[in-house]
Parts: sequence; C-alpha cells; structure tokens
Amino acid sequence: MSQSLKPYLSTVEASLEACINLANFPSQEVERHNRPEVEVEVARQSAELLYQPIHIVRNEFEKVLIEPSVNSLRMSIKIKQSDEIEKILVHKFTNFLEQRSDSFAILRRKPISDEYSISFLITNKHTETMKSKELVKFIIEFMEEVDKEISEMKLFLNARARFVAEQYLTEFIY
Amino acid sequence: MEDWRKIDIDALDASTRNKRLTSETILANFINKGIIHKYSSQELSNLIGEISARINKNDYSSSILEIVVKYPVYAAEDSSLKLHYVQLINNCLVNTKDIDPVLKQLSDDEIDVLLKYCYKIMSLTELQATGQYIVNWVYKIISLHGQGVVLRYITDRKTI
Amino acid sequence: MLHLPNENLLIQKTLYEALEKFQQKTPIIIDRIVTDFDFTQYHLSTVTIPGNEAELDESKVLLSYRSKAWASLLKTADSDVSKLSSFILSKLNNKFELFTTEQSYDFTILIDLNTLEMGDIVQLSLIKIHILSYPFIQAISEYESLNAEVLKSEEEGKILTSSKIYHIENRPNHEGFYIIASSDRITVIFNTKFQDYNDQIFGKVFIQEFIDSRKRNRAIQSSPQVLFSTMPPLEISKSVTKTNEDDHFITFVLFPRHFSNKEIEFLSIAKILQFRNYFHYHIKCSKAYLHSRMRYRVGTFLKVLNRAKIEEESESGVKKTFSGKKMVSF
Repeated sequence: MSQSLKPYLSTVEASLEACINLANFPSQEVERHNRPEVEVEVARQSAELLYQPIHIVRNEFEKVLIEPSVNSLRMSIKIKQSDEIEKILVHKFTNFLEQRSDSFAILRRKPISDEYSISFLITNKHTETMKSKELVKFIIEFMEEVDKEISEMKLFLNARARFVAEQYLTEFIY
Repeated sequence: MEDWRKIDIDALDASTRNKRLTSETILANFINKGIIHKYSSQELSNLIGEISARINKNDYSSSILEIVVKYPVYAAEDSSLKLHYVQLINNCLVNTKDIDPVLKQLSDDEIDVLLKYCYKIMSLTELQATGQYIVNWVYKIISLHGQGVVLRYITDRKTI
Repeated sequence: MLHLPNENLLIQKTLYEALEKFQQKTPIIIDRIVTDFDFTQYHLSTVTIPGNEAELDESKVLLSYRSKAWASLLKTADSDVSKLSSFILSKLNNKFELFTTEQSYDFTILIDLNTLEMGDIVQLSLIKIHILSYPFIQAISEYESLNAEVLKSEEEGKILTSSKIYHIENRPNHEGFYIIASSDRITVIFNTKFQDYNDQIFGKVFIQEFIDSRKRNRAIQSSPQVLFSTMPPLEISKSVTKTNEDDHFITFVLFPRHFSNKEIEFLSIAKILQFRNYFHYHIKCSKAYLHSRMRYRVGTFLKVLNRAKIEEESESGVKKTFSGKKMVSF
C-alpha cells in the first residue's frame, strides 16, 4: 500500500465505523413504514434524522462521501480513473457489480450521482444480520482491490494489444 | 411546564407532515437563542486580515492554534466571505508541515472545531485538489482521539 | 486461436466430403449455405441435369459467391464482368468453368468431381481472397511500371504515385479499404468504424501497439509500416467525399519486399485482407476476457461480504413445539 493511501483508507474506515451505529426507526410520516432515512427525497427529509455528511477527499479523482442517518447510511465512492481506458473499465466493473446487487445486499443499484462511481446503502436490517465491523472491512477491502483490479486489467489490455500487434506483423517477415 | 393538564394536545399533533425540521430552522434557532454567533462582514474581515498577515510571514500553524479553533465561524452574513475564510484555513492546513505538535496543544473541544473545518474543506470542490493534506490531518486527529470525534462531528448541529 | 485462418473451413469440409463419397461410388446431394467474414456468403449445391429439373447430376457441384465487395470490385475492373471472372478463374488455375450466375449471387462456378483434386479444394476454400486480390494485383502491376519509369529516368529519389485509387467497400456503413500504388510502395488504407465508444477506445490501444511495436521490436522492423488517423490521409482525401465522426483510417505501407514473388505476394495480400477481422476479433476477445475476469472478481468480493454474515445456529436437531417455539433441554 502506498504511503498516502493508508491515511485515506484508515480515515474512511474510522469514519465508517463511527457512522455505522444504526437503529431501527420507523417512519414518522407514514404509518407502519420503515424506510432508510437517507434515501428519503430532499423535500420530505427531516433534519433531526440526518447526521452531518462526511466527505473524505484524496483529490478530485478519488473521494468518498458518507451520509449517515438514524437508521441507514449511504456511502459513495469515486474510483480513480486517470484515463479513458480506466474510465471504461471502472464503468464496466461497477455496472457488472450493480447488476448483481441482489446478492451484494448492501450495494446500491446506481450511484447517487454522476460524481461517484458506486454507492452502498447500509440499513439497520443489514447491521442486524451482519457484523458491522466486517461490513466496514468489506468496503475497505473493496476500495483497495478495485484500484488494483482496474490497473491490472489495463495492463492486461496493453500487453494483449502488444502481443496481437506483434504477432500480426511477424507474419510479414519472410 | 406547570400546567401540563391544560396543554392543547391537538395543537401538538404527532403528525409532523407540515412542520418538517430543516437545518435552516435549526441554525436560525441557534442564532436567535444566542448559542452561536453570526459573524458580521466586518468581524469576519478582521479575522481574514489577521490570518493573511500571519500567512505573509510564513506562519501557518499559529493561526490554527489561536484563531481558527477559538472563533468557529458557524454563521456569517456574507457567504462568499466565509468561503474565502475557509480557503485561508485550507492554506494554513496544507502548509503546516508538522501536524503532531499542533494537535497536542489543542483541547478536546478545539479538536472538534478543527475536524469540522477539515470535513468542510473536503466537501468544497474547489479545494479538493489538495485533499490528501486534509486527509492526513483527519487521520492524525482520529489516531490521537479515537472515533469519538467523528461521532461528535456527525451529531453536532453547530455546523460550519 | 491467435490467427484467423485464410481458408474457409466449411467449404473445404463440404468439398472433401462430396469428393470422398463420390469416389466411393456413394455420391451425396449437397445444398449448403456457408458464410464467411465481411458478410460473404457461399452456396454449394448439386447441379440439376439441364432440361430435367427433377434429376440431379451428382458428379457436378456449383459454388456461388456473394459479397458486398462485388460492386466496387467491378468498378475497379472497369465494370467488365468478364475481365474480373477470367481473373478469378486464372487464380484457380483455370480448372473450373463459369456457370450461369445463380440468382441473388454474384459469381458461380462449376466444379466437376471427376477431375477435382485435393489441391483444388484448398484453392476453392481460398476463393474469397482470390477474388479480393484483384485490385491488389492491379496495383502491383502499376507499381512495376511506375518503378520501371523511375529507373529509366535515372533521377535519384524520384517517386511517382499513381493517380488511380482502388476503393473496395466490403462491409456496410462504407467500411472498406483503399489501395494506391507508388513507384516504391503500395499503400493500403483501411476505413473502419467501431460498434460503440468502448470498442473505439479499446481499438485505439490496439492501433497504438501496431504503430509502436514495429519501432520497439527489431525483429519485425521489416514488416509494413502502420499509421493511424481519424481524418482521411492525404493520399485518399480527394476520393473520400463525406466523413463521419467515427471514421478511423489505418494505413499499411507495403514495401517491394512484401510482394517480391508470387508466393509472398499471396501471403501478404491474404494477411492484409484479414486485418480488419483480426483487429476487431481481438478487441472482442479482450472484452470477453475482461468480462470473465470481472465475474471471478465479483465472486471473491461476495465471499468477503459473506464473512460478515452472522451465522445462524444450525436448526437441525432442534425440536420445536407445535407453536414454533424451540424446545430447550436443560
């Protein structure tokens, strides 16, 4: 892990752990409803149920937004994309994950805005059936691995292109 | 509440449908009750002038110790002036090389204020390029004081 | 599979089968449609006896060819069908004769199984390349005359370029290639389009490697030079009237050593003709690989997430009362 990545990830980890204290909280507007308060549309939100959002920003290309509330927390990640290829790879990869969000339980089907690559939504239901420490661990590991995976895929693509090109041109050597 | 038997409970309907609490009302309430001070443009300019003077002398850490954490600007008349103030603080934070001695001199309450500024700076897109420095500050604060500071940050209604 | 084969394996297999069964005196009736890259289509069918439509002549097979390239090929042959067909027949060693062109096909030849040999089958399976090599052979003969002219003039460093541009459109959406002869080279320019934005970016990575690998790897420095642009290159700019945003031009510069004798000439032409397919095929391959890699990665992420789940006590062996309460024994 690079020297500057560690403070970033541990800050995210600590912030997440602080925010993941979630309790069951039925909607105060609609009887017998229980909804993640962060997901309530802005006009219907009540300030007392939402906590201060946390931005953790490494630079314009790598950042995290945590929006905690009384019974849910939403976390959005912008994955590093330094060029067009990485952009495509990140887009493909996050799409791939989002299509499988049913099995990923805490994954949101779409990021909250174009600013971020992927979003997670953790509710009290999740923290009741899963260990919150392990959930945080999963997200941190995800952030670490995604960067690695993207750069490995890019390397693969370049290596493959080189091999394919050389093999084609070799055919012209008589 | 002396005469609680005479409270008109219909007026205090549980349905909050029409009286949603917003962060603006909370802030206005704080100002009205004098819990937080709303900085006039004059007062804020004074603070900005003081910090600028110190920055010109290449002194970054003293402003953090003596001004930033002592006079938290929760509300200001002129929001663009407030933005300018936050930018100056960012400048101080980015340029302070030795973080640990600064943090050791701050009390718990002052740390809370500093953390508020850190998170505020990172939420501003125009200041995100130097985000790594601020991340370092937050990282050090959390390693010194534990997750409690983060919890206090998210629940504190006195926001920058 | 790294390289795409030049020959069409289905034509080969069909003809082998027909020949083998015919020689064993158990002839089979064929009626098979075979496809190839670039929307090329072949029809192999047993011939009916003339005048008696119900009867089949099992010793004779028709091979019909259809391609998008035919129209532009004819244009390069001055719209003279006989010129083009006699060229193709000569490429097949004049062993086969022309037949009435089958409906909705461009070109039909008659194959007599009595005289068909193994070597012929190989040539027949290469028919697409033989047909498309027409403009190349034209350009090469132009090169030869231009080269002779330069040698005669004894002017050093003089380069003549033919004003004739052979333009073949072998795919829909105006995708195709251009050939221009000069006194010291033959330039082949592909105009290719990408299915979507992603392919385009992947394609650029590949093209860049085609350009760079020749410079980097000394062993392949004698291969054709590769250039790339999104604007029509100067050589063809006057014949490209309208351009689209997604046009990509890839230029191959063939040097005399790439067509120094008939055998090498054939290999070079075949390889160049495969370029577009090879190129797009490998883009697709990479995408498929990345896809399976992501699938694997998703699996490992799921495993990490599942570690967070609180394991339920195993329900087996726990007796329950009628109302669903657990029976606990002390």
